[in-house]
Amino acid sequence: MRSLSAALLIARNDFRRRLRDRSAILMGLVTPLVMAALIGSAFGGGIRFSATVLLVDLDGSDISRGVLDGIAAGTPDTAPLHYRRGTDLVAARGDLEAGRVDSVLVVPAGFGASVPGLAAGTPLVPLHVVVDADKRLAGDVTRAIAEGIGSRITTSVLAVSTALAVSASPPDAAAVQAMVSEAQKVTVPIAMQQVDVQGRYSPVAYFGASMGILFLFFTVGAGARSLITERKEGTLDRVRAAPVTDTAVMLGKTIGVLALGLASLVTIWLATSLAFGARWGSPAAVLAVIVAVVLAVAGISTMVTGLARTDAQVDGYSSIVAFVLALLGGSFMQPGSLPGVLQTMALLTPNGWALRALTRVGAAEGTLVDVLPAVGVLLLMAVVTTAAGIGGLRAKVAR
Amino acid sequence: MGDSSGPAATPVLDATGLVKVYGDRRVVDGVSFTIERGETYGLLGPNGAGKTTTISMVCGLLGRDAGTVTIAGQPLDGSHVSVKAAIGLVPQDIALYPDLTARENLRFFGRLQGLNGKALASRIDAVLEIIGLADRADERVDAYSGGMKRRCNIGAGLLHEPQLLVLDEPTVGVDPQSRNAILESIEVLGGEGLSVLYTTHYMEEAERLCDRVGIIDEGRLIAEGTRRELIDQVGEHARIRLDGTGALGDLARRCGELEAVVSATPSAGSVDLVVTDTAAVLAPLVQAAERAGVEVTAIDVAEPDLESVFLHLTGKALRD
Repeated sequence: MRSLSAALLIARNDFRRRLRDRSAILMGLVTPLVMAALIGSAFGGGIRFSATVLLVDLDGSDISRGVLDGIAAGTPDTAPLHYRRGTDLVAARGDLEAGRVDSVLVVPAGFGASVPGLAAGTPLVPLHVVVDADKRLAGDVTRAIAEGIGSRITTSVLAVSTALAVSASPPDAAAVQAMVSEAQKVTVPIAMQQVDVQGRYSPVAYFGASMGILFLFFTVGAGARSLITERKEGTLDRVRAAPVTDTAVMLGKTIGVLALGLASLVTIWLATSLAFGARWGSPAAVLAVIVAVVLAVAGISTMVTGLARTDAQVDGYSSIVAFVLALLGGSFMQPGSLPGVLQTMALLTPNGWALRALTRVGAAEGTLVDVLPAVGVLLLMAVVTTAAGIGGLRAKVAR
Repeated sequence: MGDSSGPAATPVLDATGLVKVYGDRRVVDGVSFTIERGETYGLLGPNGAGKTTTISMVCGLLGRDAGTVTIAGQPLDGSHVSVKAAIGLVPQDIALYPDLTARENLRFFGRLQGLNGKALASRIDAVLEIIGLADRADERVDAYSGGMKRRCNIGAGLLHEPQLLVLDEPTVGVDPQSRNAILESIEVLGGEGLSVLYTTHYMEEAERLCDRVGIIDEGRLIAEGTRRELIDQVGEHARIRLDGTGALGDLARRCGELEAVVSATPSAGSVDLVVTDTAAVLAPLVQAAERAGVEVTAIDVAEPDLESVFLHLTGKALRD
């Protein structure tokens, strides 16, 4: 029997058997879809930012009042920021812990008094920001506002003092008053743009893909593991006793696994599109990413199976690898809300590259060309991991 | 059964100097044997003797460290996988997909052997009849009893009408009734001219089925031949114990004079004889007892068997 037809026969048999296996359907299709629907709906059909910042004035000076008024004035009506005013830091912390506000910007005592000293090189008393660890984005925005205020005051005061120095007359009370007035007039231009992609890219699409890729490790892993199971149960011997080469057997098993992975992700793609109206974007680009990530996951599964000695080891290693890569790759949280280090580490995972590419296709109208770098990286991962595991896997087949 | 074309002198299997080494252990150590067309050859040995490793090499499942395998005149190596079509393997385990029906299993393995279309459907029906599963062919294998699974396991090996059927301990863990059915079907297949390589550690199966037997122990083929040849090789004789009353000493002396009797020893209430031909000695023995005035109460005959041959050759029992 020719190798290719033998391989296709083996692949078709494996594929059919996996489709009959309810656990495979549950793992490869039902669970990812349910998870995507649950997580997606938890985000209310869209991921929006809105924060209430409590402005606490512990200084009570004209300058501090002017600065805080300036913040409110500098914030456009369309910005998703709301302000409350306060003068008690303890009460402010209580509001933050109770979730009544999302962050606190504190003007400390002595802030106003430190402004005139800027001209003489004395540093400005810094503004403080109190953040909730669970609301990182609100904290980051408030920090940026505080830094902007400090920078604007310093720039304004230096501009006044420089003008006075050029006039060659020594600074007097009027000059200092001028500086203070400048500081009071500081208005931080808060420019916030929230791109609303809700209509185009739903969280269900993102989490459909992310959960699909996570569970791909189990469906594809089970396919790779079936080599060990079949060897133990004797069916692999019966297959190898037929007039086929070991290469054809390996090829057939691989095609079966890839077909299963592709079927799983493509079905999730179609199901989320039809049932939830999720728009994934350019079909060509989506398909390219799906094929590439299936190959990458198959490569990793090959490596895991090749290195493991028993079925139990394959299961254990596969679970560890699947969840570590899913966590690092943004399968549970969108990368934008992860710390910078984790966003970088996501690029070590197939999940990270695939989700980044799919997000670009779905949210930013990315095309096939746009996802080619990610597809290239995924294919490289597939080649490297397959090469690392194929020797061990071949030894398991040929004994 | 099978394609028996080709020169009659060409054995269906010629294994020469097979060696398999794992680490510093020679699991198979220079095993050589041939199987002629229509012959049933048994590899008899205890567990761990090297039987499965030997047939794995014969079927091309396991690489050889030394030796050659020729199937129907064609060498078995990596570049001649088509040679494997001449072999029908029945592994020791139930090598079937439990989640497929018997028919689906047979269809898949038949296609792997290159069968297709009507020829495949026809062979599947024929094999289902042979193994007695025609009426339950469309049930999943995991719903079958142990005996039915075993029969289906054998059927998958027969599907493509191989020249050599290789059965690796097919009755292990099988109930007596199913075991007998399996042995009967193998007898039928052998009677139809199919060549069979049969491994077992059950002496009685080898004696019942096999034209010739190779005794394997610790990876070496230590004796080979027909049952009679093996017994003769090691000089094993039948033993007869005659229980009776009267002049047992006189009877022992008279028996010692008979041609087929090697030795005759009287003891309390009996005479123990070692004989070369049981059939030839029984009638003269009874006559001698009458002449000696001994009233015979029982005669117990113990024929030499492969178990005793194995014991003689290795100093241990087959099931040790």
